[in-house]
Amino acid sequence: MLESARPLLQVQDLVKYYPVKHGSFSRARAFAKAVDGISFDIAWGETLGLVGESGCGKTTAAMTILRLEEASSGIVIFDGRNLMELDRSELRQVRREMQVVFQDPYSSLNPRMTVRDIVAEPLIVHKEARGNVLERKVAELLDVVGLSPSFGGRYPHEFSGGQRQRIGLARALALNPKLIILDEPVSALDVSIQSQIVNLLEDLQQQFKLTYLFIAHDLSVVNHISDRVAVMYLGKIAEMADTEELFCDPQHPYTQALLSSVPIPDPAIQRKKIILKGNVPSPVNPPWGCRFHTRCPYKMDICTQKEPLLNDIGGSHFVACHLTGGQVKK
Amino acid sequence: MTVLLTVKDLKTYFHTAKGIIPAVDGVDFSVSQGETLGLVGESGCGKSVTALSIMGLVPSPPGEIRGQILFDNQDVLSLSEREMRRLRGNEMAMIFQEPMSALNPVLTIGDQIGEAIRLHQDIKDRDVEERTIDMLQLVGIPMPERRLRDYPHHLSGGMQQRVLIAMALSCYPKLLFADEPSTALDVTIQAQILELLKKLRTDFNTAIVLISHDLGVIAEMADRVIVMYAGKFVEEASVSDIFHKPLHPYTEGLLLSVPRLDRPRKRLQPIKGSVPDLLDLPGGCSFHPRCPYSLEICRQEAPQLKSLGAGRRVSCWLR
Repeated sequence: MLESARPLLQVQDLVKYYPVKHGSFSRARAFAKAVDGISFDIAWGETLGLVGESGCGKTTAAMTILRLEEASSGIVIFDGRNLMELDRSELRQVRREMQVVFQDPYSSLNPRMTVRDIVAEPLIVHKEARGNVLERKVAELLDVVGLSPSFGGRYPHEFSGGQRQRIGLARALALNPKLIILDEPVSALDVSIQSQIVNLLEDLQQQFKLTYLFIAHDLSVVNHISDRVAVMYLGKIAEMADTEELFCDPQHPYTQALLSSVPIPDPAIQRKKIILKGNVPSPVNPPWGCRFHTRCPYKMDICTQKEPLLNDIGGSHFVACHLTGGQVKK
Repeated sequence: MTVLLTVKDLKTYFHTAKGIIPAVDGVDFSVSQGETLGLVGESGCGKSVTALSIMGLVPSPPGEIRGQILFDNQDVLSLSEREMRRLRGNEMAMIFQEPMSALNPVLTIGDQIGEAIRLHQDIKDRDVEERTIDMLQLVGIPMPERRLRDYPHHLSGGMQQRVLIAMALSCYPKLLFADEPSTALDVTIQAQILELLKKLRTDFNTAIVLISHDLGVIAEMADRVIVMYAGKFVEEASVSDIFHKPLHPYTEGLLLSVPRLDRPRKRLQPIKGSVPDLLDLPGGCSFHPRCPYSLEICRQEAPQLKSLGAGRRVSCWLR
């Protein structure tokens, strides 16, 4: 079928600049380059992990893909349709098929709505169901995410973090979406609850043939759940590869440092960490050439002058680094 | 090793409109000079309240502290507020998870560290600035002279945490409570802060009580580990025993539930259910509703924390 040949989501050269103003009436004198030209595909049923440190642009990327923020430029093709060209009503139709779940289950649920109303709302807005059918559908959704349908009359504050994340998932699933963007879905949860939600996400993906864009800063979780991983640094993709390849054979110095910094829960393993100097530079004034050169342990002259492009070094392993640039691996 | 801190049957209860919350419910432990003790557990298990109780930072009311806390042979709970203030800062200090909320937004970095130095040390005013610069240098802040006039919001999260560490260390305390010191930070910055803490341990022989829910951080930093659940200690052991031979089902469950970078991917094994409400704790062992091995007796009676020798303690009917 055509469906499987074509990726579900294609992002091409997506750019989002935010004007930086000094005072309410002044004109923008500078721009924060939150997302600065990223491209990737996600196949049907695939999970793409998007990792990077705070401020690298991963959440902005998600918001612009969903058009919750308007992109400065670039193309987002979802299931064959260019989202950037759609008008409001067309967009509303498409949004049924792409849902988002946020990090903080405490602030993303309306505290004045009952769980039943929260889960039923998308079905009512999109005129999907009413009356008995609606009630049955809500009960089904709660059951699917592991909540007792008898909880329907309660309010969000009566639930723990893990349970609230389940409510968020039930709502996201209501309209039978194809893609769910998960923005740090387990970061706010306790260790023992994180694994429950990760397992639930895996089960739901199987059951409903879902495609995930999984955004997180926790590399252990990303490694666990993703088929492919893209690493972002200062608004750009530094490296992208199959999960196993990326974690076993990272090529970009930033990815290497990131992976070496993850503390391993085994005191017998003493790894050599690559400790990066300094902080992530401001996206308003990103460094010339390679954006990572200010912190890179292998910096060469060319890195301060020329920006490395994201190159396929073989086996769909993409790296934006002059060290590997142009070379074909093996 | 000389014992620096001894805590006996510490109970910290909070009196609230809904009832009495036993945040810390009878814990015994000690900390020796220069060692790093890891305190692990999930939110609400009482690990932060344990530290705050020892630091004398639990407001009363609603808090009520019982038991005995001996620090350097002083009975901490019998000290006056003035004596306590001298102890806190000079002898023991604390750093927190959210550096931004622990710093005063309207005072410069220099003023805030300077204040700590001035309050706790017999030092001439003109020497304070020099000392402040030394401390900023020590924690790896570049160009410290220029940072003195900066306000907290000028600094990144990692730099703010360094400022807090500089402040906490300005009087060379013997004991440092580090409450999730790297949790709010990115991994590459977390690595920097953990390196810094290790350096302080070797350079000044500071004892550290490291509070964290991150088992990776604990494995990397701690010599000894205590696992807390619902206000009580459930297990204590050396770091290698905790990670390689856990005896309490909760410790085992925590280790099995985290995804690991160092092992092949397989389905996670979560602990079922969720952390109990401290106002409505299950009878018997607090962990029994979530425990895969629970027996009849676990429902009836709470197990005591038993000593198994070699610094190992566990509270479980199976052991």
